[in-house]
Amino acid sequence: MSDRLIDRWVSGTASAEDRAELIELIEADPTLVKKIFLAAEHDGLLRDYFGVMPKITLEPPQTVRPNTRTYARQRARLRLSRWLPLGVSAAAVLFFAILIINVMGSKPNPHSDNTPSVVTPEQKTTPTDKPTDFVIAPPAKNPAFPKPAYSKDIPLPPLKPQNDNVQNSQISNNMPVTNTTEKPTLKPEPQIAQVIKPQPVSGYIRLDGELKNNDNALIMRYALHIPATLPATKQLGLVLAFHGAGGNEKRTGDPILAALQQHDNNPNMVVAALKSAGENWTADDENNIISFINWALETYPIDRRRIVIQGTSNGGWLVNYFGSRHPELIAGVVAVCGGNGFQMPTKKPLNAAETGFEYYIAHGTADVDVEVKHARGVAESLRQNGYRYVYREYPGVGHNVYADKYTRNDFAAWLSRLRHKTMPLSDDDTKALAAYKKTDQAEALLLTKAGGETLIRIGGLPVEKILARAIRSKNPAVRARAIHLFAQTSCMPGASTLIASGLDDKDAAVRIAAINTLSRIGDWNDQDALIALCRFAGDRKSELSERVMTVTALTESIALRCSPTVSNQLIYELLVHLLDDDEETLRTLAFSTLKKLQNDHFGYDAQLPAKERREPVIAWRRWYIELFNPTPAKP
Amino acid sequence: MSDSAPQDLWARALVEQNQRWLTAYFLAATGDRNIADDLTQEVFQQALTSQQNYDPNKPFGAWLRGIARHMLFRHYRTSKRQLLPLGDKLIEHLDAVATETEHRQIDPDWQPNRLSALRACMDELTERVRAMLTLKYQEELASKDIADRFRMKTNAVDMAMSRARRVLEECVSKKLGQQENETGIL
Repeated sequence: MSDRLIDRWVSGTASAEDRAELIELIEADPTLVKKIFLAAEHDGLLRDYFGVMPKITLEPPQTVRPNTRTYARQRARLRLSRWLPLGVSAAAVLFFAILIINVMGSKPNPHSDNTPSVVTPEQKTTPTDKPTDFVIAPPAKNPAFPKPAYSKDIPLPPLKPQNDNVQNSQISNNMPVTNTTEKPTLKPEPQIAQVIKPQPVSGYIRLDGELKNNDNALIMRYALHIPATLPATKQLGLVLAFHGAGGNEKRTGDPILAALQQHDNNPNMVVAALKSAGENWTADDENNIISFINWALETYPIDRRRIVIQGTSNGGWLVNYFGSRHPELIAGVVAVCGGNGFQMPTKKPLNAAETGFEYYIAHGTADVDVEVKHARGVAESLRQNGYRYVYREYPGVGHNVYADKYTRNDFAAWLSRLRHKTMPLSDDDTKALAAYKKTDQAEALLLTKAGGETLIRIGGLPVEKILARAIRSKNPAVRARAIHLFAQTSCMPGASTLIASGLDDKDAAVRIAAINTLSRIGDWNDQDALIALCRFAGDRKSELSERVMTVTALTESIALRCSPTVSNQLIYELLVHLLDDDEETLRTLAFSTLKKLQNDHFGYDAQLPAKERREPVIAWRRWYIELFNPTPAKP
Repeated sequence: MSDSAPQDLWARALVEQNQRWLTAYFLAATGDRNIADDLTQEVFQQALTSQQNYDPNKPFGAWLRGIARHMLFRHYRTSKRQLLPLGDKLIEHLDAVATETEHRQIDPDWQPNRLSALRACMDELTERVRAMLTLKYQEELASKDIADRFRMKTNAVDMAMSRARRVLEECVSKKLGQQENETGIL
């Protein structure tokens, strides 16, 4: 009964009796509305099938609407059959209503040169990309962090340097985890999501399309995720996502956008998933990608300092290849399970850490499709040439690292703060930063939500200089705020040295901000941050609650879920050291983490008195030494 | 190189993702395709003109539904046609089901899959019923005109098409269910 009525209702053939009957049924069961909607939706599907779904034509405000023939015909019929009886006056009212809406809703051109309201035209600034008020020292020259005090307690293998030039070394020699069968069993449990289905994304709309050249020949298919409202100035980031072998653009961008939103509800980024010309990405796609980037820069308000490329598998090979060949375009590269397409840039930067791109590599050791040696090769090239990089190697994980949402969320947060290190600021951003020129003004702005958001958005060295100045403020709230903002902007080497000064601050809020920020950047292979944190956590004079907070952050880091490498050696060292700490809370915390990494607990119990702990602690130290400096196997 | 302005692309994406569920929303409430199309057009125009009022921290679909609700209320105030009673419950249920559909349309394969299922289901109808549907949808003929062509009664035409639509609806959802089971992963 209801089906018949619903069908008549949506097909426009319902009589007054049908309507009355339908209303009765709805009053008795309001869920019937769902059936009506689904019937209406099905009607739309039939119209799609027969190709008669009206074409919606939207014109910019203040212009006359050019209706298509179909739409014009329908409107004419509508006016005749429905509106004419209402009289000419109703039509006139509607006309004026539309006119008023159009006039009132006129939108400024998104590419107009509107400047932020805090900046006046007189505030023409001097370039801020040259360091004037402080110089960030490279990590090796930083005197602030001597060898951690606790390292004197036990003879430990030296930490592997990150940036030394080891010309002839093999990756397997520098990364002892290569012989995974020889290593103690680690038990990381990455959350592997088997199904990645598109989810609705608030604040974003999706656009599938084809980029064509002037001769109408296809350059590239794409799926764009665009913020629903475009900013007036060029400030969006651009993430280019490259699919794996035989893949396509349709869903490649979805998980990245979800991860970006996990990090920031309004990530201010365009995500573009691209499709290779052939089935897979090859070197022949290079020019098409450049064309796409140029088109995107022309079409959307994108800040060219914020272009990051991300690829998985064959797409990982592509980003290694393309990124290394175009450092002038790219702020960062994320290669997941990718082949080694890395080529040393022809113009090798003098100080790659301070002027080159940043890299994030993730790979599973059990990957049989693209072996982990490729990722190790890229990491080694980066290390030898002094680039900053994050290397995540997941023991026992195959060719599905990308399915690990923690990894996706991690690299999303990592890439959000990247800015091209040598590209100058836009005029708009230079003007916006002029408001922070005077110290008192800068501090006042820094404490406001909008002021902080502006700094996070602009990012890069000019902003780090402002924050570095704020760290020296007399106002503890400003110091804490500056350190907090560093967590989302820091991408230059040496910043952690400044942030670490907050660990010795008299104000607890500043110390906590420093712990949080250093934990964040320490998880991205910033050895200065890790040294500072480990020293703080290992120092028995530090506040217990803050030591616990530090150790908790380190044990929850993604670095610790990865194979033991130079990136996480310090964390292991700290945990072993804490097994013999005076505080039982810390001993328990360290042991609860270590026992997940090693099946044999060596008889250790955190509640044992100091004397009885001695033997188990020595056994743990031996385990640690063997883990990072294994005894060569006898022939 | 394409010369599309960002505003055009934004508008295109806006329409591509939201036209179908918006039309269904209005058709369900008004029972008239032409009015539904007209209101849908007006929602898009309103969204375009007041784009700067949108708060990016909130769901975009919910914002559009807000505009749609406003248009619907306005239409109810001015229309003399007999419509469904626009109470809170109806709006609430309409919003809920529109939200579900909007979320499904995020999937770029959703509409192509439905169309391909419909194409397969069409083959299961008789030639005569297919012809009726074509006249109804493609030629936009009234039931009376279709009845004249087929020398049938108007009621019989309406009944036949009503039955055909229900058969197709069931067939499409069955085929889509099968597809989902077969392709579960990506």
